[in-house]
Amino acid sequence: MTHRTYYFEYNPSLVRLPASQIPELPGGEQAVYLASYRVSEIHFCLKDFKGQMNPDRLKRTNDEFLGIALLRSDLSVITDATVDLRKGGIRQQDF
Amino acid sequence: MYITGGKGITPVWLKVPADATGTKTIRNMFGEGNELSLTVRPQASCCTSKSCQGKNFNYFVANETVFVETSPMAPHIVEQVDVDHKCKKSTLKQVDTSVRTNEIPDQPSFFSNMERYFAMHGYYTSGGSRNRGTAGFVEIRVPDERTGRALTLLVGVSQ
Repeated sequence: MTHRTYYFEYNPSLVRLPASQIPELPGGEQAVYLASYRVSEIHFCLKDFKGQMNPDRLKRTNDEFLGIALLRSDLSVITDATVDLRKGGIRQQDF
Repeated sequence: MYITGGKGITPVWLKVPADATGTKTIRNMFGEGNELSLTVRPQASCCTSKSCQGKNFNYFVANETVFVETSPMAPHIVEQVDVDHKCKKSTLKQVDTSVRTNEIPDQPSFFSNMERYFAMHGYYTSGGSRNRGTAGFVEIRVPDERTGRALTLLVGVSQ
């Protein structure tokens, strides 16, 4: 039997981009805000879905990622990315 | 900019300054052609006082110095975080650099509209809540639906 991992996004934060951190984007898009959020497989969004509670998955380290998104002034998303902070040497589990 | 978690605070960049050293850039895990990436300094800093226990603290910057609020009120506890040094909680935890007061706001202060709603209807009359994890107030300009004039909206996210 195969099972899928369902990631959900939560713990959102929003900051206005400092002038030094506003990236150059294709098409002249202007990013104003940076959103960050936790991307995790630990959640109860699908509490009735037994696949998420597979004991084999609970034994090992959970998948914990960080989501970031660039937003326009009206808070619509220009682009987003999901990063694994462990690849940057950061071992925090939650953000 | 900084990213915070249960164990500390770490500087992050979308555009890496020329004088930054020892940083690592992390690429997007999913999708193709997405150039958005994050650069981090691979070490977290933290608060070291004995009162600094738990998580969901509020970090903020004032006068180019990073502070952390570990308790929002009664007592209100704030301490400085040295973001130039790696977190060494075990060896420095006896150094208490926190500042604390027992004052509470003169006006009711709530961390969510839900709490405010209950207070207005007499169900919850505390002068404020002790929720933690607020991202901080972000100033957003939104147009008034009737007049079209720009209004200032302060947004925070609490856990």
